[in-house]
Amino acid sequence: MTLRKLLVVSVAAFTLTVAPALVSPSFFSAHAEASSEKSATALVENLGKEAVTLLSNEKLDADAKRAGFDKLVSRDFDMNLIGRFVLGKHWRKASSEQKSEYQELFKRYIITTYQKRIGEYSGENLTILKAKPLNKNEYLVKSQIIRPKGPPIKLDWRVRTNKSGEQKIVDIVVENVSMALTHRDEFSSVISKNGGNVDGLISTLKKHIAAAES
Amino acid sequence: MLSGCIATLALGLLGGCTTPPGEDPANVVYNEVQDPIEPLNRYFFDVNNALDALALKPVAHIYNEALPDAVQDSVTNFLNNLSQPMYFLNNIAQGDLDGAGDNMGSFFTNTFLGFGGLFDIAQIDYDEEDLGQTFAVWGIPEGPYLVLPVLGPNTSREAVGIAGEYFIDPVNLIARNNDVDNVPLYRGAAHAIDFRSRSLESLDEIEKNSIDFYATVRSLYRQNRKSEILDGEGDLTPLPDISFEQDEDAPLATDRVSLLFQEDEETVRRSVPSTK
Repeated sequence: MTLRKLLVVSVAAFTLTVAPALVSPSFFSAHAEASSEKSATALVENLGKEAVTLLSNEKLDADAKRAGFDKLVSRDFDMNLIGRFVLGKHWRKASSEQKSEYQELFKRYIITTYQKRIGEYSGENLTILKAKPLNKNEYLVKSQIIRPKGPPIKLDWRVRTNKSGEQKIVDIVVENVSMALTHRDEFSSVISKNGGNVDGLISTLKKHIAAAES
Repeated sequence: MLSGCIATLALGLLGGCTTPPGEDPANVVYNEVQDPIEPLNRYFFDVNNALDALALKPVAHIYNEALPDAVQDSVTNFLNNLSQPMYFLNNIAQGDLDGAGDNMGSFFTNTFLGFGGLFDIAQIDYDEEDLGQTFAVWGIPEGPYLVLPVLGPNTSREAVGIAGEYFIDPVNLIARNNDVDNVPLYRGAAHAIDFRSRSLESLDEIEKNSIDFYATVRSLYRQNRKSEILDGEGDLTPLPDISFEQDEDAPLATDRVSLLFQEDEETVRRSVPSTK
């Protein structure tokens, strides 16, 4: 009797625990998830290494560095998506000429701004900690900048798998402060100051870039 | 099944206790900037920047250049240690007993073994807590953004918190009871120089790289406050919802984020002629 009971219990246990795992799609997609987590981490790690190598290369002049950095940013960041997020509610009001001009300027603004920031950080170490899934197609890759003096800086990278299956960075979060959100608040304020017109932002960006690149 | 329900319920209750109701992490949509008195705020922002350039920044520079790093670290440690009793009270008021224990542990260790707080012997990782954060945990909304003369960026809630702390900070109380004058003032000034000397480069850089310094500082301040209130917990940190829900052409699907993104990428492709 006890043997039969044991058998029943073990069969029940099997069906309850192992069988659903075998049948449910999550069991099969677990491998896929693990690999996309790895590739998200690898994306950030490679980008960090390449950017530091590029920007600390003393043989290159400022223009060559900017061109190289432009390539890295275009390859690893979803600039169209970030640009649209940053423009926020003003995106819909903008004409298609304004949109394309803005996207072009936004990318140049980001490149000139962050090229300088990373240039100043060279020599300090970027350590990748772990990737945390945010939702079905997004990971937050957590990293730290280890500095010779002072506590490490927390740096998180939001990586999203887009429609064509490529992973792109859509936001950088420094000490829990989202850069995309910061630029969005800033740009929105510039647009409001110019009577809600995107042209005001475009001319401000042009002036800023001209000053920064000279 | 039943235990599952209980676990969920317990989690829900715990969540209710540890999560400030004013800062619901599930509500990842970042609320719009509340800045009804922006012209006045901008005015005081400019005044503060002028004061900074005239007084604080030069002093911070000299402080940075003249004193060895070890001395600067001791000043930071000493000031932090003096703040621990206030952090402790706030953690108690927020119901964070672990946090309060950390504050008490560091305070006594550093005061007695670290020569009155000059050295951080305890090396305990604690969060800075103030009355404004306690108010947030109690569910009081942040209120409009406010730039105070000299004190700088705040929200109305934090401003009330600062005023309150002036009266209830244990260190200030002890000083007042012993007829030592102006202790809060000296502490405030020392904090300002300490903070400014540590942020010389980063603030300069933000000013240089932003197209609207006021709006950038406002955004950084508000995001940083949110993260401080949530004690920097990674899982609770509200990330912006990078979708386009405000748009009228957004599809009303259940799986909004991913669908919106796909929709959105198409819109981007359609409306932006390739710039490459």
